[in-house]
Amino acid sequence: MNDYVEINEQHQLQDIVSKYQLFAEIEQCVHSTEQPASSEKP
Amino acid sequence: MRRLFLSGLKGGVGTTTILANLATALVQAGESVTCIDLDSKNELRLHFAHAWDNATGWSNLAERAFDEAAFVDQDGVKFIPHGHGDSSLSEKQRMIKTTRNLDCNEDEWVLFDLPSYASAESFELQHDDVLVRVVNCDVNCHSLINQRVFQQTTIPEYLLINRFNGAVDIEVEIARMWRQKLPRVLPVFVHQDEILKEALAYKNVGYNCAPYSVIKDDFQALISWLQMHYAKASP
Repeated sequence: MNDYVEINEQHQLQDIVSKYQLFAEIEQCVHSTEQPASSEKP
Repeated sequence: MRRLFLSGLKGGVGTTTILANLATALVQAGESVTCIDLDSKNELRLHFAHAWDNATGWSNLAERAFDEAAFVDQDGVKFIPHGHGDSSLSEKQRMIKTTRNLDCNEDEWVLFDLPSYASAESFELQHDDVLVRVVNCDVNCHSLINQRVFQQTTIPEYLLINRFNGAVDIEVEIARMWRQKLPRVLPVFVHQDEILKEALAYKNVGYNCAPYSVIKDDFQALISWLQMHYAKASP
């Protein structure tokens, strides 16, 4: 049940981000900035 | 002493109004509260029925003396206006440090109205201080919040959503995004309510003017969250 709620919330979040051009741009930029830091972890 | 710093993520989000209503709500809940206006706009005092042409404040007293600039409103909220003078960052820093020497009990709430342009780091806050950034659920704030994510500030900043209108789709969507993605969004919203604007015309706070309003519930919920936060933080 919790997994279902979490997946549903993720979908809602993705829907909102993809709906608005500026949000998608911000999300892409934040994600690309976070990416190198996470890839450095062992 | 419980020091709470309120600052808008940008200008015009309603920080001063939040602070004045919160102070009144705390006093009516039996707490002792002192408010200090560090914003040179000097508007906090108007919520507490201070005379519009009274220029007195900590910034235009030669010794920056508390006593000469301290007032008490009808509810018992103590407040220190900024005054009509200007103040530098170092003077604001000194004022914040000086509050540690205020003659008050350890349960006293000291609420600071910080200007929105100030960064959290510049005020040298201590580990037991609480910093709340007031935001509106709009696209500008969403953009600014994400810019701040890049800055990686060292002092934890809680976000308080003000003027929330659940009938506007984009506000609901932005609130949903923030609550899912950001770690320190307060679980309490302050809803949009015209009484908060109207009350200032009567030199009062909305909390006093609308006894059965949603915002009254909002501020009571905010007090509960703050009390729990300080209770957890105290040894």
